[in-house]
Amino acid sequence: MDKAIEIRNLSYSYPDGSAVFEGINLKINEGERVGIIGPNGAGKTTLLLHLNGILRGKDEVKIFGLGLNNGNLHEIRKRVGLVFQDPDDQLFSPTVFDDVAFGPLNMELSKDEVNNRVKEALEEVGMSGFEKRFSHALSAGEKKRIAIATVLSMNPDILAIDEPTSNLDPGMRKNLIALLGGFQTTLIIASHDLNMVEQLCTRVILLNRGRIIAEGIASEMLENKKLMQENGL
Amino acid sequence: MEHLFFATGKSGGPVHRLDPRVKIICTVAYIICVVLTAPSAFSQFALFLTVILTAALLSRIPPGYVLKRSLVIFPFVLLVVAFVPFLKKGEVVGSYGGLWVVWNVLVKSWLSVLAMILLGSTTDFQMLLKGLECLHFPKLFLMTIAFMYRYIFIIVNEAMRMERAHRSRYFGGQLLRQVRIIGNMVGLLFIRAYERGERVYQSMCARGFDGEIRTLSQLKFKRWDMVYISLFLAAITLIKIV
Repeated sequence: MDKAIEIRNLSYSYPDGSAVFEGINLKINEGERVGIIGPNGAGKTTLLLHLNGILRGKDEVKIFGLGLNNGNLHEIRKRVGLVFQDPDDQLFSPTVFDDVAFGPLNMELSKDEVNNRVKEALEEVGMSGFEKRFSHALSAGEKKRIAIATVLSMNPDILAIDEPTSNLDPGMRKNLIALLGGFQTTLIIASHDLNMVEQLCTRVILLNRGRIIAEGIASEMLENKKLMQENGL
Repeated sequence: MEHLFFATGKSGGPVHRLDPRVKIICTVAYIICVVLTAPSAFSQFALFLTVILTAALLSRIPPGYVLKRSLVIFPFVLLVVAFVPFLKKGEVVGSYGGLWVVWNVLVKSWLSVLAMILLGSTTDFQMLLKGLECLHFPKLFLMTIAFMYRYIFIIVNEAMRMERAHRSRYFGGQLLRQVRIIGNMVGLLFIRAYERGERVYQSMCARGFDGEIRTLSQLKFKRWDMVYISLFLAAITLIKIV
């Protein structure tokens, strides 16, 4: 069976030549929940940006057996939903409706289907009735939820979320963890909120300075205090 | 953080409920008619003013509010206009012909601005964009305006935060050095806005953006829209003809 995500020997350098990754290998099964942890600047965000071809490094990234190339790009972007760390980057339309409808419209769905998808996605994140609200006037927690809805409306098979709990107060954080816990899709969370990763993920990958330092079962790995401390966590 | 941008009249009067296309067409038609009026046609200008004040009354926006906001343009117009009497060829400074030009520019820009204020204070920004879109205004321009509206708050917030951080470490000092610091801040703000643009574009691409802008249009003409646009256009045409 094809893996949901298969990355072989991925390397990436910034345009100025400084390397971010060298030789990353990673396999993620369908339905798995994986946490990518690591200190600031470890390369977590950069890795996520490779999952749907926003960035392209050397060598192979396969999503459900589809190689990442220009021909497959559209299909892969439909299947991998990427939620950015700063919701203000994700919510760029005047109203919530426009933002959530943006993906489905780009998939060239019919008008009714788009309306349906928006309704369902907002329902799923518990934000029904927010369609006409202005994106800039929402609270941080609301923005996070809507940002997730903008991706859910595309019905992705893989949900990749960058720092979902950053900038949230404890109550909002708890709400969001409960929300993410309810999703059935393959889930990839990049974060240094270890507590959340432990609650949500079965497997954890520790990334530091562009290399995978360790990977294993969440509860076991996060117990290893020495490893965590050595890697700035 | 508080801003004072884009105050819209929140009272949902009958003009608020109009299709934005109606209001856009009326405003543009009105401005064209005003501009095409001879400077000596005082009665026509008076009638144009009546039309706009009637519309303001109808929209339950206090005419005083509209008038007060319209004063904002006077400094700009006066600055432009102030030099006109001196530039007319072959005439004495401050002469009769020059004053006509001043009057002409002043009254026309003022009436036009009144119409724009009425449009702005009875229409949500979103609806305005939607209306322009339905009128086949180029989508690229619309998108630029929409992004500007969306991100101006964030950029202003960023600027306010930087200013605050600067002030909290500012203990007075040489003026020249301060100017340089402020220059750096402006540059930094530009870079941040630029980087933000990159990230927004990435997030658009991640959701399948391929350069084409797709939207759902949901505007419908109602009877009240027809009535309003007919009356309005009839009124300004009458003023022009009679």
